[in-house]
Amino acid sequence: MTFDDIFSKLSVKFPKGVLGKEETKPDASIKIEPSAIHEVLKYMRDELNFETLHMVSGVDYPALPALCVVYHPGSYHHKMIVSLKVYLPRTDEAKVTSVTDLYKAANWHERETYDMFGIQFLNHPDHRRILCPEDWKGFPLRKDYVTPDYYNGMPVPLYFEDGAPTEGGAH
Amino acid sequence: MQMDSTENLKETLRTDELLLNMGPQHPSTHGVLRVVVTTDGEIVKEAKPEIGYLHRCFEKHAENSDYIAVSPYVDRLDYLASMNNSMGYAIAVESLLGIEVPRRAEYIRVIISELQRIASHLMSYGTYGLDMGAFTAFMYGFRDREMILDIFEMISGARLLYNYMWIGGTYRDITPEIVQKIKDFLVYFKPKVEEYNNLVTYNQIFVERTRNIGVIDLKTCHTYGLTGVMLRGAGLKWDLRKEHPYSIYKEVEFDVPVGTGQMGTLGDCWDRHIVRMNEMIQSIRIIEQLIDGIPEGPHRAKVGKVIKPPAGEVYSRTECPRGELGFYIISDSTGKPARVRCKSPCFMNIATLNDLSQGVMVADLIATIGSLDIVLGEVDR
Amino acid sequence: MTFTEYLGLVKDAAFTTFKGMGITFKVFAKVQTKGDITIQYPETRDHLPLGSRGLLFNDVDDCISCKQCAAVCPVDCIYIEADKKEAGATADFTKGGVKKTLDLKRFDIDVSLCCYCGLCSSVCPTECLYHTKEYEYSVLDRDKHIMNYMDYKR
Repeated sequence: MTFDDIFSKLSVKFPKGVLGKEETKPDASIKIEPSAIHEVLKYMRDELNFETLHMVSGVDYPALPALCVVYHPGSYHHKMIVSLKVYLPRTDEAKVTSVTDLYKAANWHERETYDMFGIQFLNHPDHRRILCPEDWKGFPLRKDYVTPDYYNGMPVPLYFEDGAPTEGGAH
Repeated sequence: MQMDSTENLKETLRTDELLLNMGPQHPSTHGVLRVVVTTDGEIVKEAKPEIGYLHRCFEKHAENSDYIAVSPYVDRLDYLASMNNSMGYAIAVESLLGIEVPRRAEYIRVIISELQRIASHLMSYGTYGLDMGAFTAFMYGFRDREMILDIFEMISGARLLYNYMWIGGTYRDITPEIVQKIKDFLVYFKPKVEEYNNLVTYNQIFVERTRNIGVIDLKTCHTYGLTGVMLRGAGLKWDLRKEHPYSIYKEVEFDVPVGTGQMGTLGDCWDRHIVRMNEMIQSIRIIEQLIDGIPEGPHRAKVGKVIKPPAGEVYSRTECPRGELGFYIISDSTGKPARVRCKSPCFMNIATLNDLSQGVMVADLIATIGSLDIVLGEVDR
Repeated sequence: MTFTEYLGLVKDAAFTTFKGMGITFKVFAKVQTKGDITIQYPETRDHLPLGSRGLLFNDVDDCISCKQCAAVCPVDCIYIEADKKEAGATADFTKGGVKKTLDLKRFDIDVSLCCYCGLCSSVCPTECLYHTKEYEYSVLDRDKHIMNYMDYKR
């Protein structure tokens, strides 16, 4: 099976869900409507033998402007990985359905995408930050993120903007 | 004095569940990992891992650095198998650029990758023995790993974080002296794997502690997205070096060891351990086929000082000692990458801990964590 | 399990344990006769191979202030300040014969930030910045880790 076979099968089954394909080199990807991603992945897992989900990641496109969630389901039957992209508006209310009930791998990957980008996943069983501390403010991997100067009274950067080292640095 | 009858005794002697914190500093967790364990006496009810203590924002740093300057950051992801990480990143950027690596550089890269695989599996063997209480295994594993680190110091100049696999080839060339030293090491190390099996793997105490524990079957592997030794220990013969060969792996012969449930259930901790020991033997086989025929030529393709790939995105994976390391790189034709996302194998390995440790004892929990072979630098990035 | 199976387990345990101990006794005997491999640091020091990446050193008389090392450094630990030469100043050349067009005023490296990756020494065109084999330079105050290489100008 090739990438074009998968694309044609998905376009036939979900005519409204599949928005088109992006012919980027060297790996192309398929654009999916945010409300249809759960059914598309369910169809891929049950009918097309895509047994595993390798990765869920987030991308920030400030130029579009959009936030994007990229899914990489993989198949050991067909020995391939397909890239599915879901574009969301770049606000604080970017929401998409979680696919944790289909693949348990999505649990921690979606937690990390929420932690780094602020994308909310509906029906996620454990929706909290994973890498940053629980009460961290801001979403670090967005392009317009500014590192805070202090966190709970502790200085965050190694050197402040004027070049002076922060006090209390380890000797 | 009235003695309480048995029914009253059950009410007055109330037992509760104990919330234990195997905190970030603990002698037998492989890095700064925190596991919140709820136990009922000695039996574990729940074991939830908490990560994030070693998060160094690698992905944000990569967006602000040139493609060449991301290389030292990539080394520090899985710091015990640093050459394999750099090779994965270099292969991803080379497929974005569309360049070909010279033959000499490919030979050197594969030899060094396999040597690094042996060093990483020796480290995993040593620390697993240490977790089980076998201090000798740790010392012997590290003695042999020191020899590999000495070879790497002659090749690249550093002992642990090399920055050796550059985009287009390697940093420096290798000399005939280094080739001789690798050959001497292979002659010394070949009988050692069997010795380590006699010392630890087939020892009845070790077998009793690791069989039927931490069973990962194929269905769990698929739904959690586990790769590498987990998949091979569960019985599936899948190795990226055979299925999607990169570099010159098409031209070498080696087997893919698979767990068979010899000592207990298929996919238990003992199966994963014997798969790692057998992988060391296969790595020796690969190096022996390549070490005598390194061709002449340049050790790096002509890439230029500034690397500017055309706009595009790539997801490329390589087989690292701990699983499949994936790099998803998006380039927007400037000198800095727009997004570098690293899919680390240990991230999902440690996520399975809660499912694996229902109803086992606390000592078996330690055995399970040791067999997952995690490195927190890769989990947290 | 039956009594025979139990005895079989005991025999297995004893047999494999003694096999393992045989290996350790062989190593023990070898150490007694041939000596051990531990290096007693700091009385003796190990010999480092050629090309080891230790502390950085810059020979500022050869530096042409191209700032390529500062540009490629992943952690931005090199601080360079250079001014244009005044008109009519004497021409200055490096050892290799390259003409210097800028006057180097400040070349500092913060070695507490340096990650010893080797990128700066590989891009230096005159090879004045290189790695020495030095690894014993700990200090009590973090500010003392900023190396001022202009102090070593001849």
